[in-house]
Amino acid sequence: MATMIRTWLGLGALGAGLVHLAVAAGSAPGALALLVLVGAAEVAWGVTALARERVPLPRIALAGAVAAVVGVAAVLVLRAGAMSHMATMTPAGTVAGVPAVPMLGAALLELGCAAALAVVVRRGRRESRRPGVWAYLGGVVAGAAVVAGITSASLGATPVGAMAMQGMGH
Amino acid sequence: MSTTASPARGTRFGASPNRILATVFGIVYLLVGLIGFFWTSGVPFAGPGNGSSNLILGIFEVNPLHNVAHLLIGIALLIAGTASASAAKATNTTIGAIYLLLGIVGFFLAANHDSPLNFLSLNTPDHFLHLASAVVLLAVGLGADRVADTRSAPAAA
Repeated sequence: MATMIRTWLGLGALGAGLVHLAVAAGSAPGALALLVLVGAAEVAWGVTALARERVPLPRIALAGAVAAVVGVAAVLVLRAGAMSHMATMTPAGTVAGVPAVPMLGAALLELGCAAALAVVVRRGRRESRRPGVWAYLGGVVAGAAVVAGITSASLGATPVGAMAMQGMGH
Repeated sequence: MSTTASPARGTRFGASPNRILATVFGIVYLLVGLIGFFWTSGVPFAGPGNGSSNLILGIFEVNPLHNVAHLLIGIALLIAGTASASAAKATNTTIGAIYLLLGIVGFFLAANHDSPLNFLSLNTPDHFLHLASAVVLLAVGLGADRVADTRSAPAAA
């Protein structure tokens, strides 16, 4: 099970990182730097989690995932506040230049990662049975389908992604 | 059990996730590349189609260049999958990284469907499929077949 959790963690972090990097592309300078930093860190951590035999820096990653989810929650609260004062609201669906829907998608992936990381931290270095080949492949395919679904939908909700969807028209 | 990070060269087919995945994906992409030509009559070789008649199964948009790319990827995966675990692992990781790039960059390059930049005639289901393929290939390529001794660890390291 530990192998499967580590793989899902890697996939989730990779998906969240890609969404953050895509959101950064159309963000205001201040948010851009933060999003690039967070996105790059998530992609690097995700690849390391996939490639290594143990989850890298589980406690720091757990703190980071929780902080990211809290950050998105704060953004959504700000957005709700902005919607109640239309005069201060930034372009549709954004707060300080950051689109809310893709951030929510990334937060969903981070929330899943945080839950899995909590299990990893709780279990410590306890050994667990390795999955069989077909169980492993099934687990990877299922995890990839979920991550690709959330990531694609989130990318489609970024300003540039929304333009792409309209341009395709199908 | 060894904990070395090097791929297991002699891993038999049934015990290697990378060999199984490369072979299955290779067959699927080879078939998709072949049947894709049934949907590309009158479509430019390397440009966007009309988005209605060039859809495989009515979902995934293709053009002849896109079909050729599927054929080449299918052949590469199939050869690697039947060769060895180390070859399959390297091919899965490489093609996974390429698909990840295509899944992301292609999404934005194809912002205007009718633009010449959309030279693979990509649509939204294509992006989803490329991204899903990328994460599966990368996860298995990076994570599995890392131990030389597979007696008690048939799957991931």
